[in-house]
Amino acid sequence: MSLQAFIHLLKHEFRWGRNDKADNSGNWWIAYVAAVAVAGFVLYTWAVVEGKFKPQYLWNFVLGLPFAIFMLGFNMILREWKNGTNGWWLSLPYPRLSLLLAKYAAVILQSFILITAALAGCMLFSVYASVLKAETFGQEFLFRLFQGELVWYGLILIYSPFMAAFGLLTGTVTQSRWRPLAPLMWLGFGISGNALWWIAWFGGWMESLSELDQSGEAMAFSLQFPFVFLLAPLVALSCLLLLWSGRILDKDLNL
Amino acid sequence: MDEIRVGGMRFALDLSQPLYEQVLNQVRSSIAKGEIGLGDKIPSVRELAQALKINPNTVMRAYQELERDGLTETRRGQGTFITTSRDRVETIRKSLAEQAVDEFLDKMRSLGYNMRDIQTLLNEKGWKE
Amino acid sequence: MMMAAAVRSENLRKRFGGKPALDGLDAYIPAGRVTGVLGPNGAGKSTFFRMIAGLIRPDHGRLEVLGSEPGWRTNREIAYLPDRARWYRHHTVERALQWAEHLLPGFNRERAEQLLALMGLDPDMKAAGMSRGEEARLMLTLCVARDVAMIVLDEPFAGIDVVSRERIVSALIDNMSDRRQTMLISTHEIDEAESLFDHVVFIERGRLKMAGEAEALRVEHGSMENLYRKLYR
Repeated sequence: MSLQAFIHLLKHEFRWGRNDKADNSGNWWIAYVAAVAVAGFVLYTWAVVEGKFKPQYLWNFVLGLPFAIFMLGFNMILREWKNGTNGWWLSLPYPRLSLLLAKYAAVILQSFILITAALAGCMLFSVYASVLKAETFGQEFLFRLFQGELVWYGLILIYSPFMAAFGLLTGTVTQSRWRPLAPLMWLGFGISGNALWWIAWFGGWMESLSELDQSGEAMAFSLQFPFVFLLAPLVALSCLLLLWSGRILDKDLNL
Repeated sequence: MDEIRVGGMRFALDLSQPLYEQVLNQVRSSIAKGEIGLGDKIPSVRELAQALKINPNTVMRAYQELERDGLTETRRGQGTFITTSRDRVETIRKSLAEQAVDEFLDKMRSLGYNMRDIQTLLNEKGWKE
Repeated sequence: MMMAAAVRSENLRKRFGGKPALDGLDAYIPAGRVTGVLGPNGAGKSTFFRMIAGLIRPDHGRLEVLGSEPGWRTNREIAYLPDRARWYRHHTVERALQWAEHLLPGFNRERAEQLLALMGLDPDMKAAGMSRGEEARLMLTLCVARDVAMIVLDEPFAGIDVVSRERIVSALIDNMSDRRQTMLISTHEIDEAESLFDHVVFIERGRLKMAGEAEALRVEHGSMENLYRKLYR
């Protein structure tokens, strides 16, 4: 496959959700989303001022992102079947693995944007909290929080390629004669999606991040933990999952 | 069977018969009947195939046969034209007429008529010169 | 005399969950001609076509497409319209053309634009807002506007309006006039298309029922529709 073809395919795959409306007249739901966002913002302001919510709690949501990344991968495959375009996709004159890699690259890009947006959002809300309540969330606090967040950000980035590959594989499995494995894959999804929580929990770091104790334990933990060494096995595992998906696309589809 | 008119010629195709022969015969009879005149341009293969909704190969084969008979000639870059030779058309007309008479006579014979009966019948029908 | 084969299968078998979809199909598709693959729903036509397009593999038997084993490599030379396919909902016609230009070898943009005009489709139309017939016309255009050895259309007339069918037939005739491509069309609605076929292959329950030149079969059995009724009564 030529680089141009690959890039075109990547661009084609890179789209969020259901951009399938005939026109823009059906976008009334945006009003609801906006309303919820405003309500959330008001609630956040109130909770921070009342001392009921600390900005570092936001990371509890961010740690759930691996689930979302898995689903991005899963839907990337499934939408070809749901939309009835699987025949076009699979009959493209390129090795199935390269078709899959275009999807994979699109998911990775999307995850990167998603995670980065989450980080930026958290930072923004932290700064806002600092404005609201400078006595509790001062500059010192923000500095330590951002340090911790950046480490976590790196960890999620390292972890997301695996979740993306796992999502693609699960999507592929559900359309093949390997389908009986699907429940196991979903079980794996539940466990692996939670992996960052497990790490945080057993490392005791979640607590220290939440409390942001003066001892700097959080940073110590995150630096001790050999995150970088996780990268190689995760990449290897992702490759295996992708190769298996490619093989299923080649030989075992139920069409 | 709907009649389709293409450039003066009339076609009515029956899908239960070979299409090639029908196209060939119907062009021939159009020429013999004078529905399309000497030296006139006939529709291109594509036009006729589109009008009749049939495979262009079928039209092409029929056209090749017409050309072999000398009923049409292809001029490079201009298309296919009916021959300008009155003799050739007359020959075709005659052979179509003979064919019609043969069919008629076959049918009459199978009904048990002899030549005299047939002539009497024709006279009764007012068929006189 | 046998002409060169575009597709040849021997004892082709495929099962899905224990149920045979192809049950020893021996078929021969001549090169450079228009072949109709006919049979009722569930006869195995689509399974056969998916195999030709390399989407699925036979359990047993041999399949040769354009002289090699089917797969993504042979698809460079095949324009395949999948059965019950839809187009990408978010694409406009223009976007679909770009997709084809970038991803489908031999895609002829100029020809596609001519065909789109014939099909009555506008470059700004979005697939999500099209009728089924318009969508079918778009997909057919993407297939037919390719300079490839073989065009494989799986049920191109199913479930679309009369006007769209007529335009599709017209586009196919146009295409046949311009080039000698192998064309393979499956359908269970024979009257629409029977006058287009040089060659026909009847399939039943995953096996070959009858095959031959359409004109020769007409001499013996009358119209293809007639023959179809006789065969599948």
